Amino acid sequence: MSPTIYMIILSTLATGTIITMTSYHWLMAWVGLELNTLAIIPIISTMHHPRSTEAATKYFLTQAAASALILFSSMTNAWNTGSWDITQPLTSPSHILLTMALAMKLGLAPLHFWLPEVIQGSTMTTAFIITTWQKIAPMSLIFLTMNNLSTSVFLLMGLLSSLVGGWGGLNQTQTRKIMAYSSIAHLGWMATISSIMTNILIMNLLIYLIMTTSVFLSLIISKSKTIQDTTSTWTLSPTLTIIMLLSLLSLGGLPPLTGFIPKWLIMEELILQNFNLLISMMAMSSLLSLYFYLRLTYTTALTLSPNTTQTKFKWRFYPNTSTMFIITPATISIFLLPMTPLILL
Amino acid sequence: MTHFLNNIINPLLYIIPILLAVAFLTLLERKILGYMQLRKGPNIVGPQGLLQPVADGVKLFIKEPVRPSTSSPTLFIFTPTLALFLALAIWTPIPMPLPLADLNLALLFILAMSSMAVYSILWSGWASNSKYALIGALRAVAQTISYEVTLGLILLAVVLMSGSFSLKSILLAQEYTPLLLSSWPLMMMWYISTLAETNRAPFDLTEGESELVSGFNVEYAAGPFALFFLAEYANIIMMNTLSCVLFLSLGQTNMQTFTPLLMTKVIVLTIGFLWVRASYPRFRYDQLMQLLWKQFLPLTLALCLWHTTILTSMFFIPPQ
Amino acid sequence: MVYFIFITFFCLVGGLAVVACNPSPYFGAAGLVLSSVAACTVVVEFGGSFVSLILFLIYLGGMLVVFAYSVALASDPFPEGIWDMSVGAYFTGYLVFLVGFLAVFGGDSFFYNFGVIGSEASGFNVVRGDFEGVSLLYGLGGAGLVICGWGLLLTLFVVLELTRGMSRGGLRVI
Repeated sequence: MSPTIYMIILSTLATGTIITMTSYHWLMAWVGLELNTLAIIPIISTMHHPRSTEAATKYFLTQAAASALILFSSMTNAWNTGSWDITQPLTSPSHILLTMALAMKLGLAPLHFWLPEVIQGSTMTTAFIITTWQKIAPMSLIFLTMNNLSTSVFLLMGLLSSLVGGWGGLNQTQTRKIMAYSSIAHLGWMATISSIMTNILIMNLLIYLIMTTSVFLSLIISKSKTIQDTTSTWTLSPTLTIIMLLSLLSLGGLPPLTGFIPKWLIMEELILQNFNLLISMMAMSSLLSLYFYLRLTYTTALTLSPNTTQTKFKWRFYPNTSTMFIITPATISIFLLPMTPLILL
Repeated sequence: MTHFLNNIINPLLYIIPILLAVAFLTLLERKILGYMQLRKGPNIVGPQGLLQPVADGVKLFIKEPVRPSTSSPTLFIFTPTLALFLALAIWTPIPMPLPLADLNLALLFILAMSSMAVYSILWSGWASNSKYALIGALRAVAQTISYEVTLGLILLAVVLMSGSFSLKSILLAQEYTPLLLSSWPLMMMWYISTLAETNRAPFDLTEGESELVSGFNVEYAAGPFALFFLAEYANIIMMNTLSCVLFLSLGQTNMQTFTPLLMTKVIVLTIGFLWVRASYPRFRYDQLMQLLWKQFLPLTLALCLWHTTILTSMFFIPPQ
Repeated sequence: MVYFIFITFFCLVGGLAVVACNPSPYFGAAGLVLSSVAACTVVVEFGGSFVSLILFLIYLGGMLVVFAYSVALASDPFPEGIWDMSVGAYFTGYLVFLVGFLAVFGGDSFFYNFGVIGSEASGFNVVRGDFEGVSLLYGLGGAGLVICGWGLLLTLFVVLELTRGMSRGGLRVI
């Protein structure tokens, strides 16, 4: 792809999300989503390989269907109520459609099947974009319409996606698929809390974005496509093993790390609302996720043999990818827990 | 009862003269082509061959219609009917001097119907399940879609000058000056584009006898073929009538002389079609596309912009 | 008029069922044409003649290309038409499901909510609703128009980028 077109497409990718986030009119929100989808299609298929073409096709089909559903639901709503305002209450058929569409856009549990395959078909950087930036626009729509959507449906979908995310990731050896299932699980937690307290949703989204950024950046730097590849991280950069270890544990939600904040607050809130069974199931399912994060950390950092260089290792060139960007997200995704009262506002 | 009869008789009175005109247009074509090639053309059936169309029609409709066993039967039968139906439906908003239905979006309606007509060619070509027919159909699609772009743009320029999509207001706009004078480049391009739109002689790549046998209608015979034939010639007359209404109707306010005047001009333009057919060889396909996308499209776009800006800047804005 | 609207709606739903149940792209495209003709007629009946004609023109061109591409790309010597058992079963199944769904869950209010309100019916307007919408698009909705234009341009870029020749594009013969 020529740099000019790449720039145009990337800036449109950004603009689409921003248009959706800033709009109060359903049509503009839809236009933003469509711009976003269209812009990422050529990015997914930059690698000229049948797999990436397939991934682009799958992504396009699901996202186009979801956008069409959003448009249809908002039009039905406008026909019935005469209002195109996003924050206005929705009528019965349209809010059901909207729930389905947003779940499809995000990859929430019953509609999650496209996500691992699309991510497996694209490059690491594209997978990174799909799991982070592409979640913002639908999440903002959920944030805006949450008052009018069904609470029980979102609780159910959240539980289901955290279970699916935990179970699905267990058997994977590809890091991208593992990250996809981790994304599904985290979205499940966000969907659960979205119907109860939306500022925790926002905080959870932000923390998830930062943690995923840090993990993905370390995977990109160490060029780890499978679990096996992560074993040679230490030959590339010993520091990276520690960063990856801590970020992965944070992603799993272990207490002294940042990832514990959303889990903690969500659990507290749900217990306050007497959803005891639900939250204990979710906590159990996050143990499943923790298992595959732990497996990754085990191969990355904990299997370093204390020997000198008798084994084969990569030549220590300077890393091609810039390591600078990982500093801030890694720091945030590790050390933020003491600041919990400050960030939950 | 009278209401019902009105709804039956009015369209019939519209359809029958069109079909008669089509019949005699075929005779005219064969005669003119004959004399241009220094021979007589049909002259056996009736005086000077005047009854030849009748004989042709009778022959076509009493022959056995062929239905290829590998064709897709529903579409195969459906498309000729669709072709003739559309060719007749396009005539509804055309004022002669009173239209069958006075639509205020007449030009849009005509454009929509004529682009619908491509489907009859495409589907018939596909449904007959033959390579020649399919290639002819695909050529027709590419050609017609491309030329519809210029047709639309030219119409847009005309509409900007008359201020409405209705043909009545276009007639009104030409009360003192025919639009031919003010926008003759448009008229030239329009005439050539109508040649291409109706798949007529220098642009008849859909039929291309030498390479495609007969194009999209190879597999058709007898009745269905006759329907295609009628539709094609009805379209020719319709397009020429539309060109006359759009560009050539100077001060046609007199109801009595309207129809003879209009039809005289239509005949002149149609003879032009026949003359072109007799004179020019068939285009090559790339030349056809080059003419459109590299010559007509930039020109019409520029002229469309010109018509937009010049009218606005000089306060020649037409009444709505 | 009510019967006419009913018939066009029926054609719309039937055309969509044809699109949904046909495995071969040819008949799918045909069903698409049928349903879009019906849909545009419905819009005309509700008073939006300008929008519907423009939409129809654009749709026709688009579906023509779809059909031509499916003819050129899909080689299916014996396409399954609507008269084949499986397709016919799907078709009737869809129709029965739709009608049953509406009969059970729709209730009266469902039909009334989607009732016949033309674009003239919202007040004493001199100009028809759809014309008004077009002029609004060029006036107050200027930003939206710019964004939509940008979206169309982006679509062009994306399509060009995806179909670029030889090995550089995403699409090629696998």
